[in-house]
Amino acid sequence: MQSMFTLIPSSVTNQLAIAEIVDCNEKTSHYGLILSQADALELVITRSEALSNYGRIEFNGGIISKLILSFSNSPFLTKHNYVATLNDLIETFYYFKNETLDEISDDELISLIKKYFDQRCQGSVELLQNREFEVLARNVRYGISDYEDIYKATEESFDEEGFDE
Amino acid sequence: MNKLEKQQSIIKRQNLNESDYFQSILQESYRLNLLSVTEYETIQVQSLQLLAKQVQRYTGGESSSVKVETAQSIMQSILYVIGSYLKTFPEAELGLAALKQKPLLELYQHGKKLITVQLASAKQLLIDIQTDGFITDNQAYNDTIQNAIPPFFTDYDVNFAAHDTPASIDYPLCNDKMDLIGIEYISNYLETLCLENKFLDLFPMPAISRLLQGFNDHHKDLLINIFGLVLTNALGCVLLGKTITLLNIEPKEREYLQQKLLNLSHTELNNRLHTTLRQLCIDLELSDRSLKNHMIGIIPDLSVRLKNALENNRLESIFISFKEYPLQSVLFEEGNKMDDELFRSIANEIKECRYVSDKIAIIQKEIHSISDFIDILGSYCIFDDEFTDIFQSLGDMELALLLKMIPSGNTIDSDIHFTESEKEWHNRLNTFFSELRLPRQKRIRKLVGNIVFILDRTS
Repeated sequence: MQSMFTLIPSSVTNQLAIAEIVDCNEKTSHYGLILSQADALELVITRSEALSNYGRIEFNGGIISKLILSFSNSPFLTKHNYVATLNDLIETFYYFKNETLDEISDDELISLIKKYFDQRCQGSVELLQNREFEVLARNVRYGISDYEDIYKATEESFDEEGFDE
Repeated sequence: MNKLEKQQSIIKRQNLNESDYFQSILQESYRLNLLSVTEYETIQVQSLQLLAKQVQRYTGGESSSVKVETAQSIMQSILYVIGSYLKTFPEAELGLAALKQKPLLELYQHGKKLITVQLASAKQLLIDIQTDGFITDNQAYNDTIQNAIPPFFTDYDVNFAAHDTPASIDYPLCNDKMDLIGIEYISNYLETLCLENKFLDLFPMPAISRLLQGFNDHHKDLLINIFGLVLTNALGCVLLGKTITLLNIEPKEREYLQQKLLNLSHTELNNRLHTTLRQLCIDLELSDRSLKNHMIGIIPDLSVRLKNALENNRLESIFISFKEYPLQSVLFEEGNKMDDELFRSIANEIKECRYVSDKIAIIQKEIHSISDFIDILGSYCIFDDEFTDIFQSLGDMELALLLKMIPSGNTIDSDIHFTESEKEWHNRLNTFFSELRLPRQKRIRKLVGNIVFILDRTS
């Protein structure tokens, strides 16, 4: 069984992913954000490690470029912290895919990460991971319908103990 | 293809795993050099592509990644579906040829169609079994047929979990093929059960009922295969040359069998059982080949058990005697149970009563069947010493009936089938009984021994 998953040589898929990431430079260079081949490789490795650490498997790829394009206009990204933040964001993305029990789609999760990163967290991935998204993931797991409203939910959820609203 | 034809039946079916057919066919072919590394890899790549497609369907295209366990389960489902199609080929080599020549997607689609057909016929089989007229009070049988298998047809997911068997089946079959999974298991289970019931229908229901009673007083709650017990005794009847449908084997007849069979070697015993089975089929005018094959399946196990029983002079564990009705037997037929709604309202009324005398009055007025009475006792509406007052209001016959229906004193607390409330009234009844005056205890005990429950055929 396991052999079925490890069949496609990772070098081939990595090359494709790196090319896809570097292609994003065309759109992000407008904001002064550019990734080299080495940066792209680093991101791809981060993704593989995150997938393996969180027990996930990816088929179509494209998450890294989606993150890059979505975050390119963030006021908190500069060329100095660009690669490091992207690495953190990739890891955060897969962590919360698990924590939200796959209930949130890729696009929605990326837009939520972007929203909190730009607004409440003021560009801090640490705050995003440990404050905002812990509550959000908890809301999703407990089936709270307006899970995005984490501030209201934090106050009420302890009384509700996770019952559907 | 020519090479394949020459090497036909090199792949032995017994070397292939029934629940993992697709992968075992690949591994076996690879081992026998019928499949090159390139061909093996091509098939693997195709299965991965199929997996990617199915995962996309699973997530509705909204997520590019899934948990490894989810992917593994979907992959297993894909391999199962293709495996069930490959099983339709008479030779494993033909299946291998199909794997090499046709795209995996095509085989997968054929497999899915096949499973849809299997599902429909299994559904029909279940309806046939539910209406085939075989009635038993064995709880595992009734639960399996009425409650466990029907949800399978709504829960079974051919797209993403075709290898799962979402049904909790208790009733054991004779020679159940436990290596099958998914719809294949359910189909096989229902087909076999249908055959077993067909056989049982050849015997009078009261004879089967008495045979089970002879086997064990608590046969209703046991996980036993009725077909196996009936067939064994029927074989015993053939060996004795008596009417098969009687099913009963008297202790003296067992002694005769003991003498007749004791000196046979294992092979001779096996051969004797085969001959007896053939005779049984002739006597019962059985022509169904699958039923005959199923009956033959009992012999290997039976001959071992029989040999063992003969050596230890314990033939009563194989050939069962009916329990004799006591001379002054009391035949008891259950009255009609009230409907659930009415029962609930009466139970609530009893619960709300302040005085036990009121509770007794309601019970005497409203409850007309022993089952309802027992349900009331175990419905958390009678408490503590009230049980004693209620038992005091009962006559000898009612107490005897209650005592007959509860398990013996030592096993009450350890029996997981009863609720706490039921255990409480069982214990209280036993205490109440032990405190009665000895002559009354004797009278009631005699009645308990004489009561014979008659199976309600309409239930």
